[in-house]
Formats: sequence, structure tokens, C-alpha cells
Amino acid sequence: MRWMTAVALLIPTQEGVVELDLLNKENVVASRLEGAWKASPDLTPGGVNPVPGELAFAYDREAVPEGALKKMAARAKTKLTVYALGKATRIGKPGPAPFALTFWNGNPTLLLFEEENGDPFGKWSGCRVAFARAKDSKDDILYLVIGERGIGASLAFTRVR
Amino acid sequence: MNKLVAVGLAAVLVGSAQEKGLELDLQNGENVVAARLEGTWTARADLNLRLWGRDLGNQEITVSIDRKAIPEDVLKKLAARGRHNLTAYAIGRIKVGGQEHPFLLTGLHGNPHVVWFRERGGDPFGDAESFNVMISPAKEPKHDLLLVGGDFNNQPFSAYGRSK
Repeated sequence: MRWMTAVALLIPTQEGVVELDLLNKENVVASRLEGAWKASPDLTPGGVNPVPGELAFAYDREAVPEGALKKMAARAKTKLTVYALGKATRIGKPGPAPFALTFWNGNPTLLLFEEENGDPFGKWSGCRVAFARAKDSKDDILYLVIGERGIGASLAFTRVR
Repeated sequence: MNKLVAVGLAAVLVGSAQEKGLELDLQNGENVVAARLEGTWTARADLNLRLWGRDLGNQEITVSIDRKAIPEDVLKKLAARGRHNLTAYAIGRIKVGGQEHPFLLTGLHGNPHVVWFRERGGDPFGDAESFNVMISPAKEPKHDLLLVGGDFNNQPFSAYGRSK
């Protein structure tokens, strides 16, 4: 948790504001997301069969520059509150992707950044998250909602480490 | 649910206000909890054994969406007392343990958060309690999971499956 060095900081932009709230222990997902997760068909609601493999989230305050967050907030014309920053290892995709955990349309949402036109943070995609905190963190369940729009199915993941 | 004590929204509702206002975002089709919360939910013993280490019994929660459940002046009063804008994604009634209460769905500390009200001193909205909430949607809503946390991020979530 050494990455949690920042405090709430307001960064004005032309059209939006970025608030870094990386020390907020009340954020359910940020408090338990870090680690590796494997797909769990048994815990996936409705029997959707997740792609086998592991996801991993490593916190890193420097993974996404403030400038990229500011640009994104401006383009989305929204205030962006960020609860975690780091790199995500995804199933079937090359290399870890920088991510920001935020709250978007009332949903905990992972924003994953990718390179576009030479800008390593030029493109982003969102993935809504649900999380069941367990008494023992080894029993936590992470749910990722499929698709960026509408309400799709979700996939369950259990903690590997 | 009987552990829902204290007012988790205190951080929002109390304190001097710099930026405050009420935003009703009740038609946001992208909000997972608002889109799927309505219905009747029954505790899932299998999941609660995992999350809590014990069965929580056959608790049931019934939620109906009803914009008129909380009057506009109550919402404005809440928003005016907060430090930040109050965004409501759903308003309705929630029945737990045989008692029905008006509620609103908002966000707190980056978590979907339900605030529900009960009478105090003759005011039907005189007391508020709250809890974190998530929904893991399924392809078919009948398989959705409702995940209910505490008013603070210091306890396990309870899992419920949709029964209606």
C-alpha cells in the first residue's frame, strides 16, 4: 500500500475536475482489489462461463499521469474521482494496462488506458465492477460487468493471492 | 440488515457546505444497482457461508421504485446539509424485517449507497440509516445477485438472490 501517498487533490481542467481520493479506506473495491484473481464459473451468476485465466491488479500511484486523467475528464466533460491507480494484467491481452478506479454513472468503474496515435493513454475503456467483501479477504468475490453500455451479465473472480 | 446502525451518510449530510445541490439521475440506464434493484430478494446461504462463515437465515428484502416515496423538500434539505452534491439514482421503498422504509440510492466514497429513513419525533424522515450496496447482474435478471454491505467498509457483504 506504499503507493497510497497522495491525498485528496483537486486538479482543475477546462471542462472537468479530477479528484484523487487514493487514501479513502471506505471505498469497498479499492480496499480489496489489489492482487490476482481467477475466473470462477461456479460463482458467476446465471452460469455464464468465464474465460479461464487470471487477472491481476497492482497499485501504482504513478501508473497514470495526472495529465492523462485531466485530459480524460475534460473529454468526458465530467468530474472524475479516482480511488485507485495501477496496472492491470488482463486475460488474453498483451502487457499490463494502466488503470484508474473511479465512480461513473453511480457505478464503481475500472478505466483501462491504451495507446492511441502514439499517446500511451490516448484511449480508454470502462468496466463496471461489483464486489463482495468477505470476512476473510481470501474469500472475496470480484464481479466484472460485461460491456460498457446497458446492463450486461457479470463474471465472478476469486482471489488467487 | 439489523446491523444497519448509525448514519453512514453523515459525511455527506453533515458539515459546512461549499458545493451542494441535488441531482436526480433517476433515468440513468447505465446505473447497475438502480436498473436491477427492484424486486424481492432472499438470502443466499451458500454465498453467505463463504462471505460470513455462517448462514444468515432466510432474510428477505423487497424493493419497489417510487419517485414519490421521498418528497422533494426532504431531498433538497438533505442535499443542502451535505458537503457535496447529492445525486439520487433511485428512490423508492425498501422492506426489511417486515418494516417498509423510504430510501434513496446514491453514491458515497465511490460506493453505491442506500440511505433509508424512519420516523423520529413525529417526522417520518427524521432518522436515516444507510449501507453500501452492489448488484452483480446476470444475463437474465432472475439470476442477479444483490450484495449488501455495512454502513462503513468494515464488515462482510451479505448476498441475496432474486426471488421475484
